[in-house]
Amino acid sequence: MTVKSKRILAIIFVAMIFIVGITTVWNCRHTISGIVKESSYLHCKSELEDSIDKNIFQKNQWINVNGLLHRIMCETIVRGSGSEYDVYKLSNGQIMYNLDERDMRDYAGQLVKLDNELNKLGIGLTYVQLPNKIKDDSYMPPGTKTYGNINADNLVALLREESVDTIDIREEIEKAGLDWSSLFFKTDHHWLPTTGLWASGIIMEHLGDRYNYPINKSYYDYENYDSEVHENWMLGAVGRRVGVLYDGLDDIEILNPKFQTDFDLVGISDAGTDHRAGSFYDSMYLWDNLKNRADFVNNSYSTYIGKEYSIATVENKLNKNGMKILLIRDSFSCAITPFISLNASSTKNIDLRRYKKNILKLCKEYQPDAVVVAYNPSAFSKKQFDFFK
Amino acid sequence: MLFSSTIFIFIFLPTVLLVNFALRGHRDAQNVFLCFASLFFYAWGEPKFVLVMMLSILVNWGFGYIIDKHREERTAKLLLVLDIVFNLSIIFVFKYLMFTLENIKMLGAKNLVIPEIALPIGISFFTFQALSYVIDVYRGDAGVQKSLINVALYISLFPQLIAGPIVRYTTVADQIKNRVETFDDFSQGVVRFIFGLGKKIIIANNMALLADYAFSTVGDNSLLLAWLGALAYTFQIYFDFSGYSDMAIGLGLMFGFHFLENFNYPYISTSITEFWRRWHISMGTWFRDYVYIPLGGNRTKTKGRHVFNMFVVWLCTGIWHGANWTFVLWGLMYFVLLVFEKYSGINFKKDGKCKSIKYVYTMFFVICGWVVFRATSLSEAVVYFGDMFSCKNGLISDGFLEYGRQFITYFAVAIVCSTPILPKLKERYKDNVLCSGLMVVVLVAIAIFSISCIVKSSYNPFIYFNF
Repeated sequence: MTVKSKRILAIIFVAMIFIVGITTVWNCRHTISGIVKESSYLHCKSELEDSIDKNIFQKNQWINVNGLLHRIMCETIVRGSGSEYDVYKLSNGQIMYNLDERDMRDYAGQLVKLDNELNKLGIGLTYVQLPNKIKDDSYMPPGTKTYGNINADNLVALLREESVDTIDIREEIEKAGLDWSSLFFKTDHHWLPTTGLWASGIIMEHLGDRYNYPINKSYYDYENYDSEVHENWMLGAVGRRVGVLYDGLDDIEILNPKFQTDFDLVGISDAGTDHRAGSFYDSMYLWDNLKNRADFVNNSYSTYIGKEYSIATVENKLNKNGMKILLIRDSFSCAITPFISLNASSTKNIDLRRYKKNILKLCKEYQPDAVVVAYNPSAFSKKQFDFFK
Repeated sequence: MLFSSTIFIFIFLPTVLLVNFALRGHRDAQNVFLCFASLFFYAWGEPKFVLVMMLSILVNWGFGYIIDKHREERTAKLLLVLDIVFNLSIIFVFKYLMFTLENIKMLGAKNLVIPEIALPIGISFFTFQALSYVIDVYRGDAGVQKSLINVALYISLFPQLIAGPIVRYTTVADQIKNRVETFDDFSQGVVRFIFGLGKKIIIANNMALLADYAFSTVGDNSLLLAWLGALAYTFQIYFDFSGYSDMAIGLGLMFGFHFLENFNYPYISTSITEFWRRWHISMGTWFRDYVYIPLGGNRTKTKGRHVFNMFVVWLCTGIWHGANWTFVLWGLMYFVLLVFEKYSGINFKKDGKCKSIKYVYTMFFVICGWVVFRATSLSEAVVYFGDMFSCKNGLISDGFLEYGRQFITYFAVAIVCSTPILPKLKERYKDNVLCSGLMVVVLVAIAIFSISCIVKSSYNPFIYFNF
């Protein structure tokens, strides 16, 4: 290197550390002033380090650059701060986190118990097994194993042994001959809204048959929707761990029924109560989540329904004689709730990660025609099967 | 505080550079500032143990001062012995007391209560530096430093404080007072710091993922995975340690200090003797000058005495790295190999024949040595060797396929950077403007990529806890 080029490098380096340093301190100014009042040295130190790490200048751009490094180094597994944060590049080019093998007997037991308790109230339970993005090991980098769908297979088998009404969406995908990869986002673990639309048709047809309610199947026909595609817009939850430059961005499609709709949605979260009313387009979407391209904070997928409410109620003003459904859900149902609501008079969505009350008590009050538990394999956790709080 | 942390790179370093620059022309003020900045640097991670370091500074400064006053008297020797006892006692209490008591307990003293003593980071480095100062003053190799601040600065100077190199007082004695800071040195320091940061963050930290995996599944590794894990640790420790040394040397240059090189491509060695001339040079020369030569070195009347001198040095080298039998065995392994090379009559020089066989021989023992070094106990090392030298868990496993594929690019980069290929290319094209421009781009990319790993809080192990 010539002396001149070394000097240029030194100037670049010094400028970088000073600019990043000063702006980071500025971003942390409130934390720093708060820390001064703290008495414990170790607490101060840890708070300050955390604050600097969180508020570092252009943190998201650093993550993007980091993703580029992993891409250049041809890494198909990007290690996180723990194995649950590792990101796997799948053989189909998508990215995903992996799931460990889990013992499904307790979860099956909880569902069987819920089924029995609901039967005593004269209410039916349907378990809907949603798919995991990683179909099987063939999608994984060589030498790695995935257990998402294996765990789901085990759960479904145990429920069927106990005669719990079960819909396995994965079987329906196979029956319909759909291409597994095309059903999911590239950078997010969720399925596409269009997959949610299709799956909602399967679920509602099943519920209609079981509870003798008429179902308008045309609501699940893609042709009956106007499509608004935001190309290269969404950075999914998995993508946020590795940045935009590792695997790019997803398109996000907003569906707007061509037919008339009128809803009333009330969602309760820790942040407060949201109330949206009007057409499907006005009530089912939280547009704040679609504001920013490559958003590291809000997931554009959650434009559907919006925040992960502990409980959300959707009233369909144009179908007052339809079914009443209590949906115990995970985030995959962001793309189910809007579409099943079209054929229901009322749906209540419960997220057990946030909902703290007893389900049976709610059922007694709400008197649903059907209780649906719809989980994808990453929702297999104690919290989400804790039906009897 | 670690060099590879956001708080160091974006807060501590710019602040210290700025204040040091503002104080230019006022050497004493600069030294006072750098001394307090270094104590703060150490206290950030070790708030209690900074007192240990301050005590060490004070006592060694005092001993140096008194020894110089009584230079011509017999008391000087006694004072030196007292100082050595003091320094070794500090290391013994914090580093070896628990280990010693555990072994006494194992030998039968079952009721012995073993206190929990935390190890101050870098204690071996700063204690050896302190010893070097007092011994050099005693020998007359260096003049006494009357200023406590200047002794404190020498012992605690933050670039080399935690992971070396072990800077000898004679190297920096003059620089403490009369160093000249130039922009060219500063620029060279930046280049060196970025290289070191890249070695540590991009190569060593990723190699650590594989090494940690292989050592976490010890006893269950397939043959190839065990070798891959051992190779990964071989690269991890080199790039981690030499990366830290590069950063230290680079930071030193930014503040006008010129430290000696600590590594010189050790993995191209064709003998163990050569390996130790290239690996952790500052430690090797410290033991040579302060242990081996005072014992008589190789100028002894008998072979037995020479072998004994080597035995002492390599026992000390092993123990210096940590209080565990693995380190003792690791040191003694090198003692045996070096005695073999010295007295077998085989020509291990680079220009000799069968260079590739000698290379394989050297790296085989170096890699095996790192397995012992990395293992948490002798039994773990034995089990790991079982994985490496038997097919009881098969030849290839899923883990090997996963990690082998995953880390192939890192291994390629590590192999290239373990050889002097890049410096030779740099030398060849040093005046080529295009190549220089390309180097700037590459170094900026290394800096940005490395910092991105730090910001993302990627895996960032610290392997000097034993040292």
